[in-house]
Amino acid sequence: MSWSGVYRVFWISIFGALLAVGAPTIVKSKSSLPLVERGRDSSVNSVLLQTLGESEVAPRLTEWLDALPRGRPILVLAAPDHLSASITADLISYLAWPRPVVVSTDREQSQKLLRNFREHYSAVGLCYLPSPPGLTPGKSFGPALTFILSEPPPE
Amino acid sequence: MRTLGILLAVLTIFAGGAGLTLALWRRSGPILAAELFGLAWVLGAGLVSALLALAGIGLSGGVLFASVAVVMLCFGALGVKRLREGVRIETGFGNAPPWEKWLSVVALIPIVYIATMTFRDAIAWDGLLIWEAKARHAFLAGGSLPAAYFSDATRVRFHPGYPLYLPFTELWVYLWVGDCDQTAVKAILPIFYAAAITILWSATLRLGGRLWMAALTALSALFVPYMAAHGLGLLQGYSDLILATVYLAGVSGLLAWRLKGVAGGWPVAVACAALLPWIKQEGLLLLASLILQAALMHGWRRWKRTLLFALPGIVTAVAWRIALHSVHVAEETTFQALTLENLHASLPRLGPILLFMGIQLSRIESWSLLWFAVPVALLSLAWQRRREALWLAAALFVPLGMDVLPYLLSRLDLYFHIATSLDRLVLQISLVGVLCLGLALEGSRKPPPSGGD
Repeated sequence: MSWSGVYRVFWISIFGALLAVGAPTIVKSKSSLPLVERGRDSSVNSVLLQTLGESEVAPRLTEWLDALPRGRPILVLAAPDHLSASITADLISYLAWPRPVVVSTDREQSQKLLRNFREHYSAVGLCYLPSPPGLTPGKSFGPALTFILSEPPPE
Repeated sequence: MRTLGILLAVLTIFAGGAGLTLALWRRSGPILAAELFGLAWVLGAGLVSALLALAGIGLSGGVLFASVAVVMLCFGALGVKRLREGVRIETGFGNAPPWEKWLSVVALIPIVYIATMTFRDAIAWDGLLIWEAKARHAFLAGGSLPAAYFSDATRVRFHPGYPLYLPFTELWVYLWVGDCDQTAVKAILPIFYAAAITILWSATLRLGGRLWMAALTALSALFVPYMAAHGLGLLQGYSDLILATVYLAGVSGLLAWRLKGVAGGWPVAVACAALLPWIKQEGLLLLASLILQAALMHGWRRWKRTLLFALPGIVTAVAWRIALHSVHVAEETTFQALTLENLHASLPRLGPILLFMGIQLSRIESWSLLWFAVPVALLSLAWQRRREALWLAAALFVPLGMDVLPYLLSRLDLYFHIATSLDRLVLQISLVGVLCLGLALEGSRKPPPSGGD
């Protein structure tokens, strides 16, 4: 075999090895976040299904956030070092746009913000956090997300 | 209705992009059909996103939508005019033996595979909160992002200062569909992948000369796991592979111009260089690398031409910074300021950074054998005294070297920062890495023709 033939065989072997080593990873690859439905909020619903365990949350959450009194931001407190909690908080902010949403994942800061939230925020959302004593939960989107309104809804 | 909307959004992007590509393809031989497909898509997306951003300053709603649609169609008409003037499109199959033509079918395997995977995964994390969020919010605001979006301190985590190439391409789909329909936007993501594969195939064919090499190179891209199925990629709405595609188009355009005398390669490379900072911040590093390659290819005597090459990219980057400054963009401060003092203080981190980078690059489950094979390919090219060895080495190692800088100045935990971000930076140069393998496959060649002008 000529030198160029040996050279080609060498490189084709390298390509073969690249394919053989990469193929099992490709074949075995699984979705880390399956798309569970089609339509307007398909990806948000898929993420919220994973973080909250509830299906088709996005339209209900958007509708509820839209109905909150305007003029004051929304406060969202997420459990510290909890990936699902912080992603849910970010998605509330995403869905509530253009309304400002203040997110806290820090325990001390959250407690400080919660103390007088009625003065500054229209509602507080608790992601993977229990409702503080003395505050009546207003609206829940599964067991992991509860909102408390600053003012009781009109009769 | 949704399907028709998606179709029309895609067709207008292709029409405008094809017109722009053919307008740039001057004084050249025929353009390859696959090359035109890939360039039309990436340049068309750049064109539509830039038009929406610029026209959105003064227009909104139906007027904005109609104005941009008309300009895109005008570019399409310009493309038709260029074809009538004699720009030729060819398949690239030429006089190749039938077995090579048939083998070319394998180049379609990656495209078909990714197309079938499109609706498996949701748009996720950064794809949703950084990129698609901009499209959704612009759609809800009537077609453009209001100034308050950029200065909203409560959403600084969504990086309002990131550029708008991908978000406003997605916005174009939303405008056609008439709703911010996340399934509709998923439909355009595999087209970016198809553009990547067709540009890789065309670049290898143009520079290597054989169909079977181009097909094998295009196929191999599928078997680098981080490019295809890693879970934080193109199908999840991330823009790193798009940046890699435009960078590949720029590098291969320059190489085609310099090595094969394809005059159209140079303006195409200029357009790609101008797009890089419009896709992602790291595009600035790739722009710097592309300018360096252009400087190496032009030589000292043609410095004015290097300057001309650099100018559109610099204008894009500066214009975007001025725009962000004018709307008082809220930005996260993950990095220390770039000062000599901070750099000097960070120097002891250089060793661990290089070590961690080496570990990440050698991860088989992410990169298969790609980063083991690329140095061998570059050495093979250098040993054959092929001129592209130096240029390709610069195209790979300059951005990789510059990637060290953010890690030196990072305020985050070093290992965490590298482990969660380096693979995406490496992805941005990985298509050029695959091209190196394809060119090494060719072996030594006869003396090349002199460079084009």
